[in-house]
Amino acid sequence: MPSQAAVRKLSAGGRYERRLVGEKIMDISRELVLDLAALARIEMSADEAYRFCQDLSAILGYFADLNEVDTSDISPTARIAEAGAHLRDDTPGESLTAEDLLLIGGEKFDPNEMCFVCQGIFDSISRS
Amino acid sequence: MRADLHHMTIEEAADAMSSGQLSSVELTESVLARVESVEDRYKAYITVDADGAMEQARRADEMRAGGRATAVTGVPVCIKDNIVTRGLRTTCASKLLEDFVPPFDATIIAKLRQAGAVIVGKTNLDEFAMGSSTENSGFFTSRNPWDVSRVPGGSSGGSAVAPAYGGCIFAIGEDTGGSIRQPASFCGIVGCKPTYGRVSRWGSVAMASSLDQIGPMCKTVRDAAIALRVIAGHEPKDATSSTRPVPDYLDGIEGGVEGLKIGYVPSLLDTEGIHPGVVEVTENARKAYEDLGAEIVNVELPNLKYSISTYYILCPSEVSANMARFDGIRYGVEHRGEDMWGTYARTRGLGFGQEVKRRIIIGAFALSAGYYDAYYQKAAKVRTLIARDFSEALDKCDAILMPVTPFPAFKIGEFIDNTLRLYLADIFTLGLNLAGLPGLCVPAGTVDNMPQGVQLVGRAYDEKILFQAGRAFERRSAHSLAHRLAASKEKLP
Repeated sequence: MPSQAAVRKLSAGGRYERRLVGEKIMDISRELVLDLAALARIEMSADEAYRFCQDLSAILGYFADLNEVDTSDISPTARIAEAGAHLRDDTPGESLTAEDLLLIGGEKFDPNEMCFVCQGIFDSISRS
Repeated sequence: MRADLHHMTIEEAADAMSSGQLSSVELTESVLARVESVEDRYKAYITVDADGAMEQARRADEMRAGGRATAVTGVPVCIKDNIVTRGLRTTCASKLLEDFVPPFDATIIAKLRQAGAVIVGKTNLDEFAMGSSTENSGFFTSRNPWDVSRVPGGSSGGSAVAPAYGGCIFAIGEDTGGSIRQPASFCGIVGCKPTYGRVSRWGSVAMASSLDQIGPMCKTVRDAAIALRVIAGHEPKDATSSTRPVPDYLDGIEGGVEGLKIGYVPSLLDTEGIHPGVVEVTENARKAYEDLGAEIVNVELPNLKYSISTYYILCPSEVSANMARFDGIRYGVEHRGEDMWGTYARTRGLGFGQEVKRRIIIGAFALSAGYYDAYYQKAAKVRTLIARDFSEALDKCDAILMPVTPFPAFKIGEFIDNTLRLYLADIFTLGLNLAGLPGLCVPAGTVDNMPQGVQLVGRAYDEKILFQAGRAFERRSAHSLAHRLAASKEKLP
């Protein structure tokens, strides 16, 4: 459907106002938002998910305008860069030093072992 | 030599330094003093590196003394804070990275350092470059220097504010859907989004990898041409960066537009929601180009109106992939959960702001089984059509003249409860990112007492034409930053 914005100039003071009318709403449930959040590894409360619903319903509903476009003979854009991948030779070069990594590692980076210390994952996997 | 050094352009500064009238140390001191004096009012910077800047200024003066000066040696520059700088905090305006100090320089930073530019600090943006106002920054909202109750635009808001108020001589921003051009328009400066692939993205924290492009935000068109030449060029670590040689963008820049064909899209001025003042500014720009000897050619972009849906499906999809790396483990703030998965989820839930989460969720939706074809694939096909529209239009002309935004800088808080309405305001900028084409925003007038720009769109890798046409307009217009500053001595303390 076409863009639904309407311009209305308020008579008092002649202030310029923009307003959307007749927005198409798509039904997005809180459960769907929570499912998507879980997929994206984002902890979200039920309240927060509910607050996202309204916004997402309007946004995803707006996307229905793409249904107007005939794309039956059109290929999707797969790349925007110029044709021909510019791959580099697989030759060793300079890497980050321990001094560089200390900048980001803080207490997590062990310069003697040249590794980051973090929470164990294998315990988590075996438990779940 | 002007008295208010902080309002110098790159060219004025380079001239004064090469003639011995000014040193980089003096210029940098002046800029830092300006920042110290008014930064609280305009809030462009997340991090100011005064000591580092003075050290770089001293080295720049040595470089000049050794006969190795370049066009930007000794010139203070500020950098959007989603581009990594070794040893200098880079936050992407996110709480998740508020203590992150990168271990390497982005390619464009290395190029600027090699050229002797003086990096003053890192500027504010919407968190991870998602937004149009800096209201989504995890730290604070920047202020439009022409009216501090209004936004400077975004996401490269800080990089528009700082050059405008004299907090740096030039700035570097990054544009994914308009994030250089819109704040340039709102703040009355020049902004250039180069062709996709013209500037290496290595070290730019990726938001949407097929749309992002780093570019200059400057006080004049000539400055933008100078700055682009410094940062552009092939770079092997970015597989999407072009091997095409970088031309001297100043060469031919004063050539004018006599005989050039400027495309014009009359139907865009009927866009629902466009401010009558923006229509007037754009029409005046068209007349100006006619007076300058260009031939105006009417062209159409029939699928441009779908660029909002196309972009706001494709961009969040890429965002959802690019944001996956922020797990609080190797870098960034960590919020411990019960186990590894719980740590990821809690860190991301607490660390990301609302707009970032919104886009990740939209992306996850568009890419998920059952929705992928209807949303992502469909949008990718419409992207092809939008790119084709531009290509066909640019067969008939040398550059297209378009509005940048449907309205001037809005009040802080005006769109806080209506995300979709703010997305719709990107109607004139998104198409260029979808098509990978270059765009130049130049100041072109005033709407509701605020600056308003117009935009020139070119063929891929034809930034030269944009600078030439932009310069021709700037030469005869009374809307450049210098004009606005001269007229506003009290208004811009």
